[in-house]
Amino acid sequence: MRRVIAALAAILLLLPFFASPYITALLLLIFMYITLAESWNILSGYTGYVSFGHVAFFGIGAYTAALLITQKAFPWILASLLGGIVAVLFAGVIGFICLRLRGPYFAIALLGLNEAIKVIATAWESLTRGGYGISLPPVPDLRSIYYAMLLSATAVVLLTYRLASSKFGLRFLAIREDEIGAEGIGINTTRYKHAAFILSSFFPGVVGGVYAYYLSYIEPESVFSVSITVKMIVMSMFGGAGTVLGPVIGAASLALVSELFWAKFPYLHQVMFGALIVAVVLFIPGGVVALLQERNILPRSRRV
Amino acid sequence: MLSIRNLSKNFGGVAALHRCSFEVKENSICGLIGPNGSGKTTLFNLITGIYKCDCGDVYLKGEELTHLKPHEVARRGVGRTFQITKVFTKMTALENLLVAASKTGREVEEKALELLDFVNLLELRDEYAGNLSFGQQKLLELARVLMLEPELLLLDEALAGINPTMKLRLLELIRHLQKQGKTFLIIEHDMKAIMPLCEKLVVLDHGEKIAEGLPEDIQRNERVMEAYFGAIKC
Repeated sequence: MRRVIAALAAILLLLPFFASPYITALLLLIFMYITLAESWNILSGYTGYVSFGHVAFFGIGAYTAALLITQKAFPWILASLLGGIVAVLFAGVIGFICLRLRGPYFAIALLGLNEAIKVIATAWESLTRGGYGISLPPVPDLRSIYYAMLLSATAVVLLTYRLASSKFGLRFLAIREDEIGAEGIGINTTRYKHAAFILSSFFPGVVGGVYAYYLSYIEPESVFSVSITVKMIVMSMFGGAGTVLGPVIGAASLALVSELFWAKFPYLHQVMFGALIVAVVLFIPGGVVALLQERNILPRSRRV
Repeated sequence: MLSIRNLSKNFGGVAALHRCSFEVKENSICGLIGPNGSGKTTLFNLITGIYKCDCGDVYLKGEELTHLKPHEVARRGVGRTFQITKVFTKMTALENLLVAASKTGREVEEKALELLDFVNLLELRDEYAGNLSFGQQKLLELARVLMLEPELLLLDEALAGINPTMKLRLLELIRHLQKQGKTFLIIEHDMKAIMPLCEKLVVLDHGEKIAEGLPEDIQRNERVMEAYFGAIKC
């Protein structure tokens, strides 16, 4: 197992020196989706608090970084990290209010929240240039973006791995299973939910910043797009929400499929995502990982 | 040990519990009975902080529990099981216990295995709790709550819906735990099973305490008969 991981790490690290820019660009998007899906998974997969507004952290990170780069001449890496930190601060405040809500009310509150932020980003023209968007300096080297995304994805997967095999992760799961039951055994659910919410907001903020730099142009509709949240949800659930590997498998496979299809069927691939989420919920509610565990291909461990 | 004083709770216009007071002595087993809807589970929810009471107080060993949150009440030594079990179905039996411990490590795991052995579930430790029978889930929930080393255990319909053999086993466990110094307040409808266990019964009807005393006295109490017959007639 260790050898497989070491080999994979070596390939991914050396790849941009051999692969075409197209492959490098495709992979960096896959890493971005792994980061997003895995982050969503920390909150929604583990504690069961389904967020329909997670793209808000991505957008906040993107705008923070874009403004810092264009107006304060920050280096893009620092700007992206600060994007993550602003997303965390935002999550800290929002979580305090929204985590009192349960089930569908929480999901809808976050959906509404993202829409509200999108409107603010559009209307606050003096700061964000509204619908005109912000243009950033062009990217000199695709490889640095690739490594930034790879690093983010690796970090969030390792974080999830650590969580999953700790008491912390088990307590997140207890909240998902039965919140009143969890309180009954002395778990301060408010604290754990808040922790999950904050942990799940940092990396979307960071990759939001990196993405803004990569695209050289952002506008509210693109970085606060509900379809990005939907992708996080579908990817996590397809791979297996509440597992470490699930969102990785889901993001990698669906981002690839989506890439293969969207050029030929620009609208159909949206339909496909919708159909897939229905199929997953109906036929493999535990996702690919649960399916592989049932067949004994993967071990039945929280570390998977 | 546990002291309930003047506890009241209204839901809209309905008095779910009205000026209820009684004591549970340390190391005793007290039964809480009454027809459906008489306020037994409401009382449990008030003690454990799931509901906020309208007035009155709850004391545990002289310390006030009244305004604490559910997880704080649990940490103060009040363990509770639920009428419909709240085991974590997608966790293994062992994980169900480990998650309740405030620490991790070998000692905690040994304690969890010991408790699983105590409730005869050791062989099923790696089975998902959702795959266990209802009776086994009740036992698992009891073991889970024991991880917190509570001094007082509130069992909500401890014996309901489990087969006679399992029932005997559970009664045996309760007696054993009492010998270890634990105190119990038990909601139960199976009078025959619970009578010999309890030193005291408290009877609720329509949110009010209508009787309190030795099991044999309660059996002959007219108001209690009335409450139960009334409930049956309806």
